[in-house]
Amino acid sequence: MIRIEPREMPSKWWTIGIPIISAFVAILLASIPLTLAGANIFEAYRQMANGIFGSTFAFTEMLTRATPLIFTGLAATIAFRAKLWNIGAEGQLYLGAMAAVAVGTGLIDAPAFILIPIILLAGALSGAIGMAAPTYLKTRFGADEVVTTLLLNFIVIIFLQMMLEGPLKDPMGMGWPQSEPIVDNGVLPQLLPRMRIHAGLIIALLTAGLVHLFLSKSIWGFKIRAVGENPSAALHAGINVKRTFMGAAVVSGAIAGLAGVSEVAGLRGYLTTDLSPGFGYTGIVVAMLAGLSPIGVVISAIFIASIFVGADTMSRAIGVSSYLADLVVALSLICVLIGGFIARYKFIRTNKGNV
Amino acid sequence: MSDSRLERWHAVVLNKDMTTLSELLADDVEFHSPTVWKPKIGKDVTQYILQMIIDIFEDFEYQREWIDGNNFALEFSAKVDGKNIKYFSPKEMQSLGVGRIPEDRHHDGVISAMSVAENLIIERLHDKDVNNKGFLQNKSIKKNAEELIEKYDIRGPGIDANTALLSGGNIQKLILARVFECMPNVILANQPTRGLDLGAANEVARRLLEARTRGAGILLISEDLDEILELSDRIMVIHDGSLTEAIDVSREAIGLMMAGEKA
Repeated sequence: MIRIEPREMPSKWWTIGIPIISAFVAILLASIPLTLAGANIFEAYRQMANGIFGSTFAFTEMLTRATPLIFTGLAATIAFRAKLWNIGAEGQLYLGAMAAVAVGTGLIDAPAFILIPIILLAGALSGAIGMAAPTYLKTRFGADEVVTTLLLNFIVIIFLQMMLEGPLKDPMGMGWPQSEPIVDNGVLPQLLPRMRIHAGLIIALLTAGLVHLFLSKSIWGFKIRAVGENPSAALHAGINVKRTFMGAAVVSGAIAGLAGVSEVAGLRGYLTTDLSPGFGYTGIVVAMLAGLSPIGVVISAIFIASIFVGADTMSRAIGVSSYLADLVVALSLICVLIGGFIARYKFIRTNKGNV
Repeated sequence: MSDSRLERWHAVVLNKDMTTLSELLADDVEFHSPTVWKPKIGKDVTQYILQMIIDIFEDFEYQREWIDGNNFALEFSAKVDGKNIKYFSPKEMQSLGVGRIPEDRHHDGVISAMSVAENLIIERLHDKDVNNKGFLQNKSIKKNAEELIEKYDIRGPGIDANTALLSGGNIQKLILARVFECMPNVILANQPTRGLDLGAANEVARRLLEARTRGAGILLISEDLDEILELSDRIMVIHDGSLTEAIDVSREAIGLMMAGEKA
């Protein structure tokens, strides 16, 4: 028999080590479906590494892919710390992108150093409203935010389709449902010539640092952690639980909105309904993989972006499906969850009948 | 006729005119209150209670009146010490100087996934030494924690360790430290020694008596008769929704009252 007992204190090494080990285990486990697909495993992994580290372009592409994931991962982190289940980062991302397009395609004519902050602010505000609304319903009427935020994603996408067929439609777009391009002064500057990597990454890294400070050093962050860990003790201690939820919601939604701004004003230049291949949902995986640590989010976003970009290259080079990327990401999440369990408990072998 | 009685009543409240109050009350008057489950019967006790209320309550104001012949219903609002008397959120209790020792210390008392130092300041998040323009003052939080674990003998792996690692007795000491350091005027202590070992229970009793000596009012709710008899100045027994003062404070008499025997 094996008895399972909670560990007194999961050590620092475990909390850092578990995600790293899990990531490796997940990549190793991916060799099983790769073999089944008839690929040479070493060649497959070599192509994958090539797709990430093979050239400056490959590496910057990976970072470009990681940028929105850092934002959405941070959005999930803040909300989940308060045990506020924001599944709506995808919708908030599009709300942010829509706001960016609304103010950034000619409505305001200003130099870049004014216009870019305005666009960022508009996107953040729009995303914040997108999360504040379902959170208000939660605190006022007890509506389950998992359901409301998830379903709002679809509402936002359909709303976006309507806008792209109507007020936001580009008259020069040859009838395609896409917005006008962001004006030159509103575009986030590129970081390297002839590469797609843009200033959104810098903003994402800054945001990660700010979120870290916010959660660990500020009174608001303290309240968010307290409410997330034990809402009834937080209430007893005089913390306004509902207001704390609203605060976490506004910050979470704003950061998800910034993901949309960064994608539309940094990468695409104009808005379509396929701006995000599920960055909002992947952000949840990023946050969980990072153990809800804002600094960890940066690392896990880079890991997940690497898997996606690497798997793309691999599938092109050796002709296996790029869906393997989704498989590795899912496997690594499962590995982290199992690893977290192993880290938190100790397993003691006992003799039969000796319970 | 009826209106004049109402006017006289208002005069009593407004002018604190206690002789008129005595004239207004019938000999077999009953006093019901949402905070005293068992109605008080008789003129003397009712006069006593009403005098106290009229004396203590400030800004006594009638909000609504219903008049039906000889029957009146009056709705009032009032303040005590400048605060509305109706409902106190935990936050208001803190600002009024009401210290609270919760019944379920694991569920309501501490946040076990946060550190000892953090739990020690959780009720003081708006004090200047903790909160500097919205940011935690880690230096003084640490200093505060080190002082308090020394002063209240909170034993555990350290001030940065998760509170979950503390024993029940030490968690209770942590809560005591939090409550008593704020020098409360009123302390609500709900089952403060339940599940504690003798040493920790004695510590709780000592701190409560110390606060009483300092002049704090303490409402102790407990099922431990020895503790009640040892600590209390007045003892009330709750049975079946009614609250009765125990005149005879022997163990047997109180035990019988708890079982529903009328005093």
